[in-house]
Amino acid sequence: MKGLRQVFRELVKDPMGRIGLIGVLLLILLAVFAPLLAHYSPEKMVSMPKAAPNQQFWFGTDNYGRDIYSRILYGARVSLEVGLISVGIAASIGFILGIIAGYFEGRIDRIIMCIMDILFAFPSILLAIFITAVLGRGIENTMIAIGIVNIPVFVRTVRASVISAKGLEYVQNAKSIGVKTFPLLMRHIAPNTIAPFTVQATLALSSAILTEASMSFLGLGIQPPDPSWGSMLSEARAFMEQAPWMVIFPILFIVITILIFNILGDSLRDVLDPKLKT
Amino acid sequence: MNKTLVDVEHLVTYFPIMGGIIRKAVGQVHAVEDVSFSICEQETFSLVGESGCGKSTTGRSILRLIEPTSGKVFFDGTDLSTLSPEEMRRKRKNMQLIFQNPYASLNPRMSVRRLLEEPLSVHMKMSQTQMDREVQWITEAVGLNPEQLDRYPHQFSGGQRQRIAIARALITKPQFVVADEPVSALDVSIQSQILNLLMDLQRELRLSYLFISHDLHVVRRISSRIGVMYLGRIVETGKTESVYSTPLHPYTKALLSAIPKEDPAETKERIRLEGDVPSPANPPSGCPFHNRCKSCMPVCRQTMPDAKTLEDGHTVYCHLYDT
Amino acid sequence: MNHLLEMRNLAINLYRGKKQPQVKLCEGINLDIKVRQNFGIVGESGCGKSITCSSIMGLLSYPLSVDPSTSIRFASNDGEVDLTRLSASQMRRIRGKEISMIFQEPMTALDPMYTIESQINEALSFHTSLNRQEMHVAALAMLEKVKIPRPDQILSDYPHHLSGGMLQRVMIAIALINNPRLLIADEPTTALDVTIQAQILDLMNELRESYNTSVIMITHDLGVIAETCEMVAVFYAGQIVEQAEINELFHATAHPYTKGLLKSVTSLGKVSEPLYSIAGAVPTAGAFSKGCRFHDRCIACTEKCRTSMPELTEVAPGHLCRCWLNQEANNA
Repeated sequence: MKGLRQVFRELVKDPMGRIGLIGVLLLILLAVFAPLLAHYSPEKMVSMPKAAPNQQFWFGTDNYGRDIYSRILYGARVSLEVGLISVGIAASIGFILGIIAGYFEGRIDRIIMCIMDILFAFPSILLAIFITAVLGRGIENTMIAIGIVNIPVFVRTVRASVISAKGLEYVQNAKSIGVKTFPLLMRHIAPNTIAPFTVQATLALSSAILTEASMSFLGLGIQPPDPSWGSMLSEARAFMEQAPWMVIFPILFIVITILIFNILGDSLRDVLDPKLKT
Repeated sequence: MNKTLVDVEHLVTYFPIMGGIIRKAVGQVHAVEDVSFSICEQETFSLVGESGCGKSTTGRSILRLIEPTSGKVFFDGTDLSTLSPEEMRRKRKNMQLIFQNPYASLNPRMSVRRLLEEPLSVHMKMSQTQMDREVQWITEAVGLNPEQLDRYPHQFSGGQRQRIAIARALITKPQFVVADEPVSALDVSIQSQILNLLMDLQRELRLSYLFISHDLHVVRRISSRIGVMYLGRIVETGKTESVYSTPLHPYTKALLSAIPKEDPAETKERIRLEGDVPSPANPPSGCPFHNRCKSCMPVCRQTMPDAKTLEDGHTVYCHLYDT
Repeated sequence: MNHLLEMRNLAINLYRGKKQPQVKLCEGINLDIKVRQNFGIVGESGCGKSITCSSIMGLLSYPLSVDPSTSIRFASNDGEVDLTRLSASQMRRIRGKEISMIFQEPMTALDPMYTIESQINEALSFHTSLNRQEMHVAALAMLEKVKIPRPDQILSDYPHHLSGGMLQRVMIAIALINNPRLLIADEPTTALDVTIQAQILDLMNELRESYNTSVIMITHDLGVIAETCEMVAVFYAGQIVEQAEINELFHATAHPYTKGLLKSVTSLGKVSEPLYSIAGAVPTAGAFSKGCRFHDRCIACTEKCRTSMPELTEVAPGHLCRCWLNQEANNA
């Protein structure tokens, strides 16, 4: 098993891994230091509506005269926050369910996997919309909805690696020695799930960010005046022809964000588990 | 004769063959079929046979790592099949398993020290100093270098790894050890080292072994009694020397004659077996060996032969010896 | 050329990146294979026996490569060639036609997605110009030769339908169907049970007679060598340490390593306490001593053995040994 330091070193060695790592790092810096980097408050009207990009307003202004550059920075905060928390929810629930399903098999496994298959059968955005409809709007509920939507992929990944780890001879060996179930799971089985789990988490992050943007676009995610890339797009829709910059910059950031997370995820997969390479 | 430690009575293990949309059993693999034998204290009993004959499954069914379908296993007088999973787990302190492949049977993420401490922490409440003492003792007993305890399994050669695996199995001082092909994955020059070690440890720790192997040389060397298995059944059992010098069952005869000669000058009369072992999912009626047997009689196709015990506990399951 | 194959000074390099020097996994290996000879190579895992044979087949791939100083001369149907200097397409024409190989694991050496017939046809269609019907007849005849029962039915089966012994017969059929001059068998019976091993070895001995094929038998099992070979080379840590005619090797053993191997096998059969064993473990490539590579496990090790490497010298006619003991005995 590779140590954390070695994984990092190999990631940096791979050109794609380097791009992903630097990209993600930049994005995090942008989000964390948004208040310092932003020129204006994201919610304040600071100029003429729909001003084209210029020296003062780098990305132009929107239909209320708010600085798009500042809104994008604060929007990155929202995106990352929603992404991280919802993936955190999905990953922790998915990990526990996956371990249970994979280790115990039998009826528990069938029940868990049946529910997961049903969840999986819905298009993720539809399911997220349905959950928000039940829970109500708002940033917390958006996170919960996206979290629930992402549970099945984690359950599947973890379950599959638990089942293959159960057959490993050293797991059999630990059993024959009389190791109790919980230490057996934690010490001998769970470490085998880390590689696919980490890769899955990185990839899920990008899909969570995309789902959040889509929901906000539909008006179900982040509520105005909070800046979110999705809701910015939604507002910009009406002014696409007069003020194209209102559309271009949020889209650009969504695309770049998704791309760098996917690049990082792919590279991480190559480093952690060369067998998964296709 | 020492007192009996392990007594296996009519052990049967079937594996279901799953099929169909709703995954129900559509058939059964008869992996172990009515196997009985006993092992005395400080004795080595060997099961020999070719791959798929059920010898490994027998070993694991005795330890309840695979749940047997029926039959009883008595360990030191206790019927293991009546134990709850937790009681069984505690019993494992006294009965351990050594695996074939030391490359796969050691967790690559644990250092040798942690690998050796794990069985202690599972079964005994011990202080760190006591554990250190035990680890020290077993490390010396199996001939490992105590300075290498903080290394990881992949830093050792195959023979060294098997020593680690043996140390891990013996550190709780069990009475009974199932050794499942413990030297098959090793080089010839290393095999003898490990076999010597196993025999030394047996004397030192008063162990009983169930030794599982396909290597007839190894089995002859290490065991006091053997059972020859074919298609899930024991077809012949007895003292090692009497089975090797006067094999009774036609299969045992063929098996022994198939051993490659040790010397190119030696001329060897070989009994050629035709065909392959039948599938254990669909075993033949009557004697399991009848379709490959040179001396097959009509009765062999219909009824499974009973045990016939000749002198000195040498038992065979074959109609040729019906009186 | 007197021999079918003459290997001179084989060395195989392991590339370990730009910063580290290359490691020689084997070096100085000379082999002469006569026509119709059954040549055995015996050694423990990692001694270089398998890569030696892969280099004959031109099957070494990065990071392994054959050293430029090596020559492997082979008497092919179109005259003598040096296998190390052939282009990839020339090599393909020899591989499978004039030199073929059977592997240890018949289960993984055959493609599970194709029938036995199409796998046999693959070997035929590349090297011959037979049509479908003729190929079918040839395949059927070949399966009969390797004594597969119900060959017409087996042809349409997939590998998973057959047992290990049957698959190894199929592998032999594929290897021999183009009537090769040299057959390399890499541990052909290691994965099989003893009764099946006996069947396969008998079959190989018979076929060699009828096909005029030379065989290189690679194995770790001295018993298999005793059953099949005429000439034996013992490999240790990437070198030949002893080479002799079979009876000579078993009865006038010269090298302490070979003696130890033989003793640890034969003492298994006899009940004598304790089992004979060679202490220590095989050294790994890159950590070879500059002296004799066996010295730290040898019972007769002297100061000279630690510091300088003995040459492979003739101790009796046709009997080569790499050990200072014998050389001194000869000089004295």
